[in-house]
Amino acid sequence: MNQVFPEVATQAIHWPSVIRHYRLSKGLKQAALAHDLGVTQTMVSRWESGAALPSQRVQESIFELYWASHTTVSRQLWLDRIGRHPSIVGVVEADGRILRASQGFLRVLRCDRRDLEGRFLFEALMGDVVDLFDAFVATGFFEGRVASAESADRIQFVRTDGSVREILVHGLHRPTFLPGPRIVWMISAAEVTRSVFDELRDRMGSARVIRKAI
Amino acid sequence: MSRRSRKPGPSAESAPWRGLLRRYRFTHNIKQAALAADLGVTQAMVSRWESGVVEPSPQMQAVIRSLLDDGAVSVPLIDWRTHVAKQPGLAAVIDRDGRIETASAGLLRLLGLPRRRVEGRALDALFSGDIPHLYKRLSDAGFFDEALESVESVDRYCFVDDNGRSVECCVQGLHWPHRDEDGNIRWILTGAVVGEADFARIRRAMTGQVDTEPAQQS
Repeated sequence: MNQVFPEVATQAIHWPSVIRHYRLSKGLKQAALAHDLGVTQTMVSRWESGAALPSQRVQESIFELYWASHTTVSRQLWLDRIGRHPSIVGVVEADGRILRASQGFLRVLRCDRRDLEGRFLFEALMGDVVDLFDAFVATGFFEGRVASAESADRIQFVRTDGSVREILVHGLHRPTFLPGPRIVWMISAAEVTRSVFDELRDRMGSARVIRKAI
Repeated sequence: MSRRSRKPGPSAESAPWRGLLRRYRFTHNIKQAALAADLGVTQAMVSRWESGVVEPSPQMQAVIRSLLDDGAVSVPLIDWRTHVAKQPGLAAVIDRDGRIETASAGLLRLLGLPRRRVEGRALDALFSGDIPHLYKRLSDAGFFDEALESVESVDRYCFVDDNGRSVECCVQGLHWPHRDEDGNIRWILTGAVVGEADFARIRRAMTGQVDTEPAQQS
């Protein structure tokens, strides 16, 4: 029934990071979060130390809290909006599959929706953006260990005739919490000139800066 | 037309700094005095910023931001407003009175202006042409009362850059209302620069500057 959020293999979420990160970001004491979730403070402490795994109910509640801290719309509406976005926006699953690509993304790459959506990022695209995905996997982005990231990337799209469309982008990345529960990568970016691209890389000292969750 | 005062309320204005500083201290487990030493101010000053009584000066805001942006430290959750401020593309948070509260990195890049010359200013003080018109269209259509789910537009951004040159460019936009924690509705403006040909094509397809989608009745 739900085609938008297809069932995927259960994803390993690092709950100690996810819970601690949420709590500290909101400046909450363990007792306050425990109260909000209807559990004891000892329980929160056990989740954060990794001694216990939160129940299904709590896992879902935590993801709802993350969601509510960012937007008040449903995930369905959020995903619809991304598809209509004029700028470069995309949602990528932990396995590298592109769940959604914005119309702006398609426009700058001069490709069709089916060239990106449903395909693996590393199959559809080439360039720094593929290295970025690998770096995210290595740092535990999809397990909830990353707060945000910034990058300056070359993105290449290879057409069926073998010709390549290359763009330079400035990217901003953050994890997004979907039912499952699973964490996906939301990329938002804008095309930049060569000089802005070089400036960004100078400032960051590399192609990307990945900021870990607390 | 009833319009609220343009004068920013002190709490609304200084609230982000309060939160940022407190969170930074909390997550790094440091005392006000230690943060004050890092920033080269008195502890009383930090206390005043955190109570929201005064806002850090623009110069001090830059110092605080660089401290918080230091990639070496682990950072808190990126909240929705910070997410807008860091957007590489065109994005802004605009209040009911048409005042720009937050501008994205991409918008500042396009305008060629520093953050302090954009945030806090009225849309019609920065832009002429389609953008003030779009604001009026949205206001009249009840956008700030959540009558619309989203709005698509194609606009000519007309503004004067830092060197006093008049600039014009074509932007495709997507806009939606955001209900903040304080219960007020803000306009989330997003967009991307497009070529003249795309601009003309989209305008033809939309038969005008604006295309609105009403909010779903719940």
